[in-house]
Amino acid sequence: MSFDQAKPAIHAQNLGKQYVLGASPYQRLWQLLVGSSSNLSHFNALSGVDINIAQGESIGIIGQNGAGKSTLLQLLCGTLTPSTGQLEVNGQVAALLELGAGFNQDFTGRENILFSAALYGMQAQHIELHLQEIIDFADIGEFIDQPVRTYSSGMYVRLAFAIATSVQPDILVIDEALSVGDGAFARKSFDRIMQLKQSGVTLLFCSHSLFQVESLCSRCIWLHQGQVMAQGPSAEVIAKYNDWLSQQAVAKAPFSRIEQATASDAPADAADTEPNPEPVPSPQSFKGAAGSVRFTNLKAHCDDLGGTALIARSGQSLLCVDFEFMADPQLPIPNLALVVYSADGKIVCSTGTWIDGISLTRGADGIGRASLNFPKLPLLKGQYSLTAFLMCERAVHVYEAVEHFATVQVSQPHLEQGLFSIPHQWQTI
Amino acid sequence: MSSHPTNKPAAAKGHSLRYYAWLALQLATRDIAVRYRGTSLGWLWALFTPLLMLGVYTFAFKYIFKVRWPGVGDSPVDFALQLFAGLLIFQAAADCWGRSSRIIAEQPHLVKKVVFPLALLPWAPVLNAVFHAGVSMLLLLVVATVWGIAPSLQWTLLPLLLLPLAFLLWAVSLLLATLGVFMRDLTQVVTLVIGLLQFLTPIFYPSASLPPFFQGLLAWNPLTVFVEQVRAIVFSVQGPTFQMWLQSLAVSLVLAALAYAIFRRVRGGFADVI
Repeated sequence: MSFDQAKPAIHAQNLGKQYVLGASPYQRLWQLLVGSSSNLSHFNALSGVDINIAQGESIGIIGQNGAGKSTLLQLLCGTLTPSTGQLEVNGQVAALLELGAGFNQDFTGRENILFSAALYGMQAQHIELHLQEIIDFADIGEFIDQPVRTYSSGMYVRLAFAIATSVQPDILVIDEALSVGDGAFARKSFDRIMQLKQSGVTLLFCSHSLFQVESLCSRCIWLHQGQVMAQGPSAEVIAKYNDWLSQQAVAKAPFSRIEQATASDAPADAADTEPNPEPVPSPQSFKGAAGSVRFTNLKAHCDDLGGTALIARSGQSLLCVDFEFMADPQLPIPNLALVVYSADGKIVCSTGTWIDGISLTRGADGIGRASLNFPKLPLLKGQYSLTAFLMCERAVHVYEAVEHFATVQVSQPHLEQGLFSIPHQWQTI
Repeated sequence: MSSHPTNKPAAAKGHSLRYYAWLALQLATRDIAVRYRGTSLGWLWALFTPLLMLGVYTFAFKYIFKVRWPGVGDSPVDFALQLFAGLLIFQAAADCWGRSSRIIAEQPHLVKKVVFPLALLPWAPVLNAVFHAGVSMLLLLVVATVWGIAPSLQWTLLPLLLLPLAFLLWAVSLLLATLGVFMRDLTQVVTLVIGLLQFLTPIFYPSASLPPFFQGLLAWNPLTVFVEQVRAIVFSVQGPTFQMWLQSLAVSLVLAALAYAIFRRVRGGFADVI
């Protein structure tokens, strides 16, 4: 990473990409050769995008499917040429757009490393230097000397990720590739990306997981139908995007776009988390696979009645969630989070152990328990659903998410309006 | 299309010629290795294929069509050697051009997913073909020596022909590969043209045996000059000239520059149609 510090990593002005609709490849070739623009109709995949990204900055790109996110990333990577505007990219770009794109099925993993790394723009002597490191990271045993066509999809992804992140780029472009492979490898790959970010790599991260975008990226760009709707500090842009999403969702069926809005650190109100003080009676060795972190049990009950469809009375019921998880003792202790959704898929409130400063405990067998109580449930009448998260020690990487594991039907005796009742006091003066 | 688009893929900057040469060589060795990987004879096929081909053509033209090569002995081996001198050049071109029209179109991930110097792709079939042409040349010299043709010092010049040949093959390959992205029918056309080229190249006859008008026509075939040079060097019919070699190199380089210019012009549209 030896370049002029004054230069931005990426500078784009009025950047746009148009696709000609309905032109045959022959017409397209003719247009390119004679350099004429056609009268055929255009589709604007991206238009009028102005971006300025400083070196070492982490930028999130959010938006719905078809908003132009991938087009923008491909333009930045140089795999697409812009139709309009100026684009300046300073530094070596490595893109995790499609893992394993350059693999030849008949060649061994080792041969593919040599070749794929070259495709990513790695110099020959650099590849030789990092060969062993890549092999170690992929960790696929003697398969490294077997033809790639004998690989399982997991091994394929491991090798591809190891190569793509070993090229020491100046700019790393990630398109939904954060969680690859099984649990342990997903964790390892996440650490690798964090490590690159800390070493000053400019990061462009495109994801539907708004929570991850917000925790990884300081700044965010929201694209909609090829145009920038907003850009600025992640928290602001994501809040705007969430508002917009819920407006869009009003007409739609409840819970239709839940995956769009996972967790967000909305104010954690009335949350009370207790780690289970009971020690595990007979300490055993960890039984799960190395590096695995998962829920082993998850139950919600309301006034001692359990189940997945709970019934509660506003202001009176005690809502309680019991968590049980198994985490490899080699890994730092994980975090738990709970998100309450309203019927239209909006986050009503959320809480997490790291937000409330609670650290969990677990036994030698890696099993830990916690319970979360909401006394005098302040939710007002309506249908709510609960989603639980098991997250890494920094609360960024999601080990496991159990979405809508329980619904809560809340009734109330009075006519108070809204979603929940905030603590309040009346005074007569 | 208001302002002129400027986009320099970052990964393409700062790479030296040495890096590109390394990459092209990687592509080529991979291409050659794929051909023999998994076969029981392996690399021996590089020797057997031209030998078998030589046998088939000699049998057909010598014994079925009873063609006589003017000016050389009447034995089948004399005929075979003349034939082979032409065939090795033509075969290199046919192998290479026959599949180059799909070579970019078949790699959508290299066009759309990574920044890759696509102009290097044709080097795989080109170097593959040139390598096999080199093996065939060696074979030709061995058979000629065994047959009693005195080895001469100018035989060492033979490999020099491979340089302009490589650029010629690359120029046409790159053009075909570029156009092939847009024209899916090109592969069919190329197959036909190669079949025609087999007879428009002086393989089964010396070009001197044709009427002057056809000789003039044949001179427009860029392969002709290579075939003539191989025969000139091996059989010393007339001294090969340095001027001839320079000319063919110049023509090859001009064609290569032309093909590259066309490639550069339309490269931006690849991702739109693949």
